[in-house]
Amino acid sequence: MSEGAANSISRAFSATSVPLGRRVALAAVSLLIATCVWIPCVHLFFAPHLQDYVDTKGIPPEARALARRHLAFWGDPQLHVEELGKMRGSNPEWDFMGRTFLVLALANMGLRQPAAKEQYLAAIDRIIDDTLRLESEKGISFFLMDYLRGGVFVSQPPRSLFIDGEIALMLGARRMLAEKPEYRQLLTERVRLMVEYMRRSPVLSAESYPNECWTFCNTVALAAIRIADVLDGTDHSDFIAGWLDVAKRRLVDPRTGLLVAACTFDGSHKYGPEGSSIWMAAHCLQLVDEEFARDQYDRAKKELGRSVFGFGYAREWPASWTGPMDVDSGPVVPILGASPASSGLALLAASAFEDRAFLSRLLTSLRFAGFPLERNGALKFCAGNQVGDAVILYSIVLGPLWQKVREGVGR
Amino acid sequence: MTAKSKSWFRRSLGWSSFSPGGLLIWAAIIAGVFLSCHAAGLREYTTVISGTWPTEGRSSVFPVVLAGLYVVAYFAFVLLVPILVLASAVFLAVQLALPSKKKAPAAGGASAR
Repeated sequence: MSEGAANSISRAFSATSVPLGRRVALAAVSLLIATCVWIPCVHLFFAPHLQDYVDTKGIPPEARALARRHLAFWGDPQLHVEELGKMRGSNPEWDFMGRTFLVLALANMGLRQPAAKEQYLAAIDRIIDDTLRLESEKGISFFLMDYLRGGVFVSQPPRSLFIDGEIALMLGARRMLAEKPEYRQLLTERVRLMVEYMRRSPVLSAESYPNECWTFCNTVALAAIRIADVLDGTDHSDFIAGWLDVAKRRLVDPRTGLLVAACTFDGSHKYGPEGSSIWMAAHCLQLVDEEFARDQYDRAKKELGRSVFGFGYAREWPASWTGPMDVDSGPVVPILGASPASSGLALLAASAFEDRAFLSRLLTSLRFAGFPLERNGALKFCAGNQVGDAVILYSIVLGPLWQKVREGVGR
Repeated sequence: MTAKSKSWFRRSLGWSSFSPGGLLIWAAIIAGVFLSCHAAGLREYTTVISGTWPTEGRSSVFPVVLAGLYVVAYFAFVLLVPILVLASAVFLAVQLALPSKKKAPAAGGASAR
């Protein structure tokens, strides 16, 4: 390069020969052009290699890395208390749900990788036994939020379907992976109680909190009942059909066609459709009514699923209904209305309904704003917590367990 | 820092911000702040976004401040730094493409102030 050219570039770099007004205008135009170029491209740098997250037969690498951390802290009592203690300070439900999603994930991983089944079974049994012990020693309030004490359960003696449903689901998932005779009676009794309590309500929905019947919990219970039927040869098909019938007539929001998040014991709508409920509900409904499940997923995606510049996310509420930002929704991003809880569970539903395009966009957002951190081969998403990571893990390994239930090959 | 580099730094933060070089300086500053936050392990504190405290108990706002600092630095790094670099390139290209109407001053451009 000649000295003249070098000088010319040097002068252009410092723009010293340009009047200030023109420099400001040039800088502004340059920034505008750069913004218009960069913003639509950002997602390309965070788009996942889907093979890292999706594997129809084996276990995808990202799932291994996520599971490593969970298995490490469930294998270390001190670490386990520390990790779960952080979440319990905010919401004891997260501790409980983290267990459920992890058991579901490990059961699927065991089905995907039979050679490592014993390792997963050992972890599952530790989680289930610890959960049953805590429930027995401390009561249902241990895993529920404080507002439990602000009311009285309509159904007496008090039981929470949140607890019963997820414990039953854990027991069922474990037994689908490998039979454990000690858990058989526990599951049978839990299912009996769930059905009894659900039948008491005119909308066949049991309470999770006083006079609050959550669709999330009731659909989890239905999935658990279905699994128990497959495992033990029982038949609750009439009950399940009854629930579906009443839900389609009385628990659907007329504006969106989505199941409401919660109703009272007598079936009055308490909360409208919510992302933190509907995605998991649709997934659970896959075991009892595939068509209705698909309908709910499609509606949820239309009402709640969004994409901006290649990033996918989910809103907590449809445009026609807005609820209060709370511990279920997480901090909702202004303007976009993006909810971390709804987006995380949308990941689960997108995977369950094999919606690869939406799944990819949601994973792009997760990699962009979830602050992944990999250390010693163990992965976590810093912006979340243990339950968030367990949901993500379950999202990328789900499939075999539900498939086995659908095929009715429990025994 | 030498007197010469101090002067260059001041110029970059001052009027020369509106120049390709100035935009690059800002990109480097933002990148430096983010990399420092990252190296200090502040990413771990972003768990407060989910309402989970990095340690048991919620008595201190310190984690919120650290998480906020990290989040701002991260998004600035991911969004602003590439924009500043691209803008610098566009600015430079425009300058080189357009004929200069005024002859450059001989010594360091101070007269343009």
